[in-house]
Amino acid sequence: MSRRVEPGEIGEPDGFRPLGNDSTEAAMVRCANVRTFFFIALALTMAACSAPPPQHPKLTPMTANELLRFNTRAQNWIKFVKKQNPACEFRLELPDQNAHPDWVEVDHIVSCGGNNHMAAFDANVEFQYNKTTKRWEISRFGS
Amino acid sequence: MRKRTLIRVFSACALAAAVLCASGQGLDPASILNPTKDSWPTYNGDYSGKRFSTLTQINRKNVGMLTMAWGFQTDSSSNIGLKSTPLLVDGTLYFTEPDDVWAIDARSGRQKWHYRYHENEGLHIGQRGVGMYKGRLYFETPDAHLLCLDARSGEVQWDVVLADVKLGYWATMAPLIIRNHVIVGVSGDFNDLHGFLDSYDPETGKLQWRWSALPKPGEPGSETWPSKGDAMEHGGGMTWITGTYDPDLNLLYWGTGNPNPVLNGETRPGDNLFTCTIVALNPDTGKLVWYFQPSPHDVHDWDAVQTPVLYDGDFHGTPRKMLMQASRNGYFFVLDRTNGKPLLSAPYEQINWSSGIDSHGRPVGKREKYPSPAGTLVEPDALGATNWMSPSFNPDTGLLYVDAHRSFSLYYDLSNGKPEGFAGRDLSVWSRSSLKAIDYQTGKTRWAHDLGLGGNWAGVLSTAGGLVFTGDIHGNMLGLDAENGKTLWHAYGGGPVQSGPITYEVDGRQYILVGSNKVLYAWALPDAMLDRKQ
Repeated sequence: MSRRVEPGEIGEPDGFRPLGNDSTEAAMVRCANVRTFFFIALALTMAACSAPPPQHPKLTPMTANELLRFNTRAQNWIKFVKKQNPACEFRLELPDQNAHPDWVEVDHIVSCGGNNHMAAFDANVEFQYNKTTKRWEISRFGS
Repeated sequence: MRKRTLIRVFSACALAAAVLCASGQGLDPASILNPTKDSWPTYNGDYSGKRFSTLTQINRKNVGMLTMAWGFQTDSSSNIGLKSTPLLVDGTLYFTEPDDVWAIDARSGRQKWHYRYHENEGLHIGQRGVGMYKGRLYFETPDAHLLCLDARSGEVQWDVVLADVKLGYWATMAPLIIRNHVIVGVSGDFNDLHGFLDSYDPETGKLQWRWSALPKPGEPGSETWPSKGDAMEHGGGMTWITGTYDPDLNLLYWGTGNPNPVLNGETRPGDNLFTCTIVALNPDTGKLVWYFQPSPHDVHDWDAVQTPVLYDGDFHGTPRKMLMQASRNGYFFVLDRTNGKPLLSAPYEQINWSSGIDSHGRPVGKREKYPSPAGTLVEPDALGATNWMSPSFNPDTGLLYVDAHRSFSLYYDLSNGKPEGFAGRDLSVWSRSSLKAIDYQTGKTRWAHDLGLGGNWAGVLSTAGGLVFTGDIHGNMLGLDAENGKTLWHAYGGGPVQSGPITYEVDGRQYILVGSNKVLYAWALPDAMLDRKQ
């Protein structure tokens, strides 16, 4: 006769014993071994499949601005824009790079005295890490 | 019977082959002399720069009934939008953006091909269009190359470098074809460069001649520069808007850009020829025949590249071969184009920088209106009283229609030591745009249609239907009464109108083409209104 289990009661009813024999216990031991092996294999697999440590440095704001400074098209563009509004400058806000991307795109990079995103003056830029030269480069400048 | 049928089939095949061959030949340069109503074979429609069409199907009475025939959306990633004037030859329209050329069907707007130029370092601020010679198109790229494309496929036939992009040159203009000359100019006034105009062989891309906008020491014009130093060699004078041509005089007319350094003339005392100048050249040799300088010793960035419009007619009772220009500095000029002598020099927009006209018909600048470290208030701003927008002249009304700006700007001299490149800045404080109808006999404005605050960049088309077509920066496409400027038709295009409208008639239907941002719209009367012979 078992007693009624109250809602929320933790544990097993009195007198409950798992039914079993040697073979089931052996099976339980094997199961525990398999489980251990599975977790070790999973850990090894995850370690093997996870991203390798980054092979390239992050794109820093300083590098990005220097690349813009030495890009003919970008410099021509900002000169053209400043002809019409001297307050305009490039203003880059780089995205998060925790995943170590080798390609970074930044939109709306022209700011005109805080009034950025002016369609006529706006521009965007794409940076690409060149594995051969081991440098970040501007792969595209759009205006 | 069978023999007769065979003869008919053979004849039909021969006729079809002849038609196909003829259409494959493209544009005979001689046809630009008298363009047909189903063509717009060169940047300005013809060599005169009038952008006037004799078509009358769309006129004052029915323009309000215009409906959209088709629209073509470009797929470019550029923010620039359409600034080009389409060419129309053999039922195909060709138009451009800085890295792109499209060929589309003039009846349906369906794309035939699209050419995209590779990624490049040139300045991408606009592209005005292509030139055509036989079955070939000529296209200037942002990095200052001249490409020859097969008009049937868009495939590149040859590619020549006009100037070094690394030095700061770029290119935007639509080449002008005169017989076997492809005439091209260049842009670039950020650095102290040297302006020139080139002629290339349309078949081979070989340079035929180069006219330098800056004289060499000892040459005529060199006396307008300092004799010491390198100011003249690096003095600017870009050639970035398509010129015009008089076949009778065999003279090519072209405007040149500002001198360098810009907004500062300390290191270049003198008139600085041939910057800010209208020149007449022999198109076969590139030799200078005459010149007229609208802005001597410019210090406000007022290029004189605006279209030199050619017109033969009466001027104050005397028949004249005239050239007229509404210049960026706010003056309207009428010249005798046989010799460059001025017939009229008068402001068409309000200005405060000039004290009047000298004995050669040239404006005289006020020294106190030069840029200064503290800022000088000048009317107009550096973008000018007009700019690259194509004007239009209607011989019926005697009016030149110009996209005009009234503006004020503070001009600053920012040079520190030897001025270089852009040695100053202008801060525009107010501007308002209008379409002005200028009487070429007096230079006075007959009427002005207000286009609102700010700059406006649309070209103009006028027609024998008594209409003027243009647009505004807000995206409105407008059809105005040529006599008084009243709005007779308008439609909203969704983005700034920055190109020159054109018109043509195919299959008995007249179309008006207007570009708005990245969409080219074709407008026509409803089919039910047309009295077409089928």
